[in-house]
Amino acid sequence: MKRILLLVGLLAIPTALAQGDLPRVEDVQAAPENHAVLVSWTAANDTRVVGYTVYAYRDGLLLSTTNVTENRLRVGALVNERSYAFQVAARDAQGNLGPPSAPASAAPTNSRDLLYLASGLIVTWLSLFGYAALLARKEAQLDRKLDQLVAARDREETK
Amino acid sequence: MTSGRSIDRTLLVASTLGGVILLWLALVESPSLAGRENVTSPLAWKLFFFHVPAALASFIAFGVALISAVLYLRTRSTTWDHSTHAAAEVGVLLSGLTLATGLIWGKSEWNDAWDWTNAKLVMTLVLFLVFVAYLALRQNIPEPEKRARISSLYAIAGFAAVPLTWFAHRIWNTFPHPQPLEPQTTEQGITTPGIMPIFGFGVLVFILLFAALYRWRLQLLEAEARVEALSVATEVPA
Repeated sequence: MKRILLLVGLLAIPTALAQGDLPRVEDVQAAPENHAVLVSWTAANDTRVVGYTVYAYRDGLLLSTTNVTENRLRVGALVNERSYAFQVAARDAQGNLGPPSAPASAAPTNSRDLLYLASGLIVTWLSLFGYAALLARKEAQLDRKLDQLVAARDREETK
Repeated sequence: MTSGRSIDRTLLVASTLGGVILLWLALVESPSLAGRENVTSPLAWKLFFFHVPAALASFIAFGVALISAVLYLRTRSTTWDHSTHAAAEVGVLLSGLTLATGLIWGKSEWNDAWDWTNAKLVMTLVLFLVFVAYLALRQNIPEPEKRARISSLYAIAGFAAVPLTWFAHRIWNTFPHPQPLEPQTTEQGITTPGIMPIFGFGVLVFILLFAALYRWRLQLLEAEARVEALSVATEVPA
């Protein structure tokens, strides 16, 4: 069902907007990042193309439409481990759109999950052991001082 | 300084051993939340096993500081002043740990370490700063009796930040801060079988840890006072 919705979504919206004979954007890539996907494509070799429109879909439904002038876009605020599809269409100075590219999909993922866990654990144990080490050092200093003072007092008393 | 040391050593060893077991339980034995709808960082999620117990232990620490401060004002015994100081200091450490682990988890899960609309997060910072200020206040009042009286009053007033932090998500209801100890909260995976006992064990370990560090710090403060008194008596600089 999701695939059918995706196909309907992918075909319906960009096709309806496509006008003129602007070139089709090629080689669209979607690279997963943490809560984001980096969409990139080969820049059109046509002087009429002044920018691109990027369509993002989730479960076949259009999620966002973004106009850019570069040949890459980082789509953020996405949910990790959910699949997103992207299409790109070339745009001319009048706002006319070319045919949509073939879809590229990716699921954002947190490749630094383990790193965050390790950081949290290191912070936790370093703080606790660091504090305990400070107390141990203070204890040793106080013990030494106390011994000195007791010895000094004893000397005073024997005098 | 030797009396009670064996109890303190036992507490310290028990809490350290408990910490190692908790680490093993959290990393190896806890069920994986990978693939859960609302858990996008299943590994960083394991920080909750330290974050929540540290928060609860910090509340207990500030509670001990409150009781000790009240008892100081009633009895004027310096031991209670030292107790307030020790509990507040360990509470600041635990509260700082709560903040640090929470920020790291937030960065991983939400891609955002800090959010001013998260009332619980903001109140935890306020609580932390209130007791950091308590420690700073003590440093800046040289006269022991005045220091003990004023800082006790401050600790009593500062404790108000504890219930405000605990109930922050209900009072301000601005941000869906995960509530792992509220059974109706399912979206962060807390109801997954096998998670709650590890949480319970974590809380026990952090309470033990608080007790061990608090008693150790208290003994050092008492020893410092003895050194000071002896220094005056023998005219040797402390």
